[in-house]
Amino acid sequence: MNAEAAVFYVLAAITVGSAAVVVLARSLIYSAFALLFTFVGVAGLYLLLGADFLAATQLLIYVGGILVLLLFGVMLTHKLYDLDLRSEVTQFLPGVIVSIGLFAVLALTAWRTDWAGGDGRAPAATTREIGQLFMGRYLLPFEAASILLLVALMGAAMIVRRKRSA
Amino acid sequence: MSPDRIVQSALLLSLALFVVGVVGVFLRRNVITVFMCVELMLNAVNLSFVAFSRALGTLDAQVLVFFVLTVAAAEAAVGLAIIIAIHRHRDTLDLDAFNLMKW
Amino acid sequence: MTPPVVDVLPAIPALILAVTGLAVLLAQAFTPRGQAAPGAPFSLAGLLAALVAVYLLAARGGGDLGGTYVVDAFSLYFHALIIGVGLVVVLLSPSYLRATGIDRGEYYTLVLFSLVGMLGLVSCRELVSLFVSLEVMSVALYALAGLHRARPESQEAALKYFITGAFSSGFLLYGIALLYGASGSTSLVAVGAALRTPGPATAALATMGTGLLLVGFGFKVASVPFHMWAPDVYEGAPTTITALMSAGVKAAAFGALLRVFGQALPALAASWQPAVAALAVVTMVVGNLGALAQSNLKRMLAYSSVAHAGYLLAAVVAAPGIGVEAVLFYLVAYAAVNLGGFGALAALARQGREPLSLDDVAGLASRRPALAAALAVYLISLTGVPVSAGFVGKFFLFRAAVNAGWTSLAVIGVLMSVVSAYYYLRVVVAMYMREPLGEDAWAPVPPSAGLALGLSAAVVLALGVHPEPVLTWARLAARSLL
Repeated sequence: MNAEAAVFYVLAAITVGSAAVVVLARSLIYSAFALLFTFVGVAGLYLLLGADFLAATQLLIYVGGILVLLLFGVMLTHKLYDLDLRSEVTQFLPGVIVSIGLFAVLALTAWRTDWAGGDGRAPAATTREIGQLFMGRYLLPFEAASILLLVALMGAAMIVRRKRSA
Repeated sequence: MSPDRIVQSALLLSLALFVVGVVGVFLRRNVITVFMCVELMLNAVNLSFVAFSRALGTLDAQVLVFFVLTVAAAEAAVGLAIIIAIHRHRDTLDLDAFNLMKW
Repeated sequence: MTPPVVDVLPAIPALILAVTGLAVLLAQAFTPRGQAAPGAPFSLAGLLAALVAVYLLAARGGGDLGGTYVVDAFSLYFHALIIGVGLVVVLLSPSYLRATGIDRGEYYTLVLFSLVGMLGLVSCRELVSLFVSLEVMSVALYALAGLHRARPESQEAALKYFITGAFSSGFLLYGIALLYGASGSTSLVAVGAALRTPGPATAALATMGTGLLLVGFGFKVASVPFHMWAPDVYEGAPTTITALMSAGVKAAAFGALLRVFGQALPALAASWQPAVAALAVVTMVVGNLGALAQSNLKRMLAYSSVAHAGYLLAAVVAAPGIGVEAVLFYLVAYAAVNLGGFGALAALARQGREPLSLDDVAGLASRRPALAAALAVYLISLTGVPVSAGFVGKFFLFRAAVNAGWTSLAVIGVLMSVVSAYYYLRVVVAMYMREPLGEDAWAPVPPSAGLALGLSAAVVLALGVHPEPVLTWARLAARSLL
C-alpha cells in the first residue's frame, strides 16, 4: 500500500465516519461539528484528486459560510421542532431499503466501470483554466448563478423581515 | 494506488456519502439535521464530479462543482431564513395578537 | 483570451422579465411609506413586453446562445405558455394580496424571477444551466410559499417545499454527475451522441443516472411516490402562488423532462419507458383516490394536480414520437384550468378567508353566477367531458399512449377519469343544486381577477371547440425537439 492509498483511506474513514455521526448523533451541535469533519475530509479528497483550487473553495464556502450559517440556525432556534415528512405513508423502512438497494446497484456499477477514457491523471494548475471556462463555455450558468444568489438574498430578506417597512 | 483505482474508490466513497445523506433525510426529523443530510448529498455529488474530472482528465467537472456550491449556498440562506421565521412565529404568537389589538 | 461574442437576442424575453423584476423592487424602495408600489402594473407591462419579444423571436425563427440556451419552436411554445401563466397570476394577485394582508413589494419581483427560472428551464440545452435555472425558479417559490406570515400552514408549506426541493435537487445533481461520467459532457446533444454508442460500463452508469434524474423530476412534477409534499404545500401556500406552482412549475418541469429525455436519453428509451409507465399508473391511481378523500377544495385540487401529472406521464412514455405534442397541448389546457380553479378561490378571498369547503361554495351559482359558471367550466374540463379542453387534451394523451403500444395506460387513465368525475362534479352540484348557507361571506369578484378568470375559461372553451391552431403549434414545437 503506497502513501497515496494510505492517505485516501484515512480521509475516506474521516468523511464517511463523520457523515454517519451527522445522521446518528442525538444532539444538533454534535451533528454540526461532525459535518465540519465531513467537509474537511472532502476537501482533503479534492486535494488528493488534484483539485487544489476546489479544495480551498470547499473550505471557504462550506466551512466558512454554510456551516457557520447552520450553526447560527442551531443557536437561534434553541427549541427543537420536528418536520413530519411522513404524512402519507410510513417512509422509513422502505426508504432505508431503497437506499441500501440504490447503494448496492450504484456501487456495483462504479466498480465494474473501466475508466480507460482519460489518462487518469489529475489536470495540472487548475485555477487559470477554471477561470477561463467560467468566462467561456460556462458563461451562461455563471450569469444564471448570479440571478440565483440575488433571488436567494431577496427571498431570505423577505422571509425574516419582521414587519412591513414600507 | 493506481490512477484507475483511486477514481473508483472516490466514486464508491461518493456513493456511500450520498446514501448516508439519503438515509439521514428519511431517518431524522429535525429540520436542521435534515438540511445537513442534504448537504452531505451535495458533497457526494461534488466528490463524484471531481473523481470524474480526474478520470476524464478534463476540468469541466470541476467548474460544475462551483455551481453546486453556489446552489448549496443559496439554498442554505433561504432554508435557514424559513426555519428562523417559523421559530420566531411560534415564539411570538402572543406578541402578534398584541400588535393586532394596537391597530 | 478574448471574451466570447454571443448573440443575446434569444434571451430577451427572460431578460425583460428579470429587468422588470428589478424595476419593481426599486419602485418599492422609492415609494413613500404607507403607499403601495405599482408592482402589478409594472409586472403586467413587463410580461406583455416579453410576450411581444417572444412573438418577434418567433418571427425571426428563434436562435441560440452559444448552444447552451436555445430558443427553438419548443421553447417558444413554452415561453408563450409560461408568460401567459404569469399574466394570469399577476392579474389575480392584487385583490388577493389585499384581502389576505400580504401585499408586499417583493412579491411581484419574486414571481417574475421564478418565471425567469421557468423560461431557462425549458430553453437550456445543457444540464448544469438547466439545473441553475431550476434553482432560480425553486428558490423564489420557497420564499413565496411562506409569504403568508400569519398562517402557520404557509410557513410549514415553505419549509416542506424547501426540504423536498433540496432533497430532490440532490437526486437530479447526482443523475447529472453520473451522466457526465458516462458521456464526458453536460450538453444534451453531446450526451445523446455519446450514449448512442455506449460501452457496457458507461451504459450501466448512464442507466443509473437516468434513474436518478427521473426521481428528481418525479419530485418536481409531483408524481407518486414523490408527491407527498404537494397537498400540504398547495394548501398552505398563498392561493395565487399555488396557481403559479400548479400551472407554471408543472409546465416548465415537463418541458425540461421532455427536452432532457428526448434529446439526451433517447438511446436509453427502452429502460426508462417502463419506469415512466409505472410512475404514470401509480400517479393516476393514487392521485385520483387521494382527491376522492379530500374535503378541502385546495387539497382536492392539489391531488387532482398529482393525478394530472400521471395522465401527462402516460404520454411521456410515447415521448420521442407523438407523445410530445400531446403533452404540449394538454399542458396549455391544464394550465388554464388550474389557474382558473385556484384563481376562483383566490378571487373570493375576503379578510384573510377564502372558500375551502363544499359548504363554502354551496349556492354560489345564485350569488356569483359568472364566477360559478367559470368554475364549472374548469371542473368539467378537469373531468374531461367533451367540448372542453380537457376532453380534447386527454384524447390526445391517451391516443399517444395507445399508439406507442401502452394501451393499458390509456385504459387506466380513462377509468381514473371516470372516478375523478365524482369529486369534480360534487363541487358543481354544490354550487348549482344547493341553497347558500348563511350570509354572503365572500368578496365581489374584482375586475382584474374577473378578467383573468374569463381569459382562462375562454382558453378552455376555445381549445375544446377549436383545438387546431394550438395543436399545430404543439406539433411544430414537438418536431423541433427531434
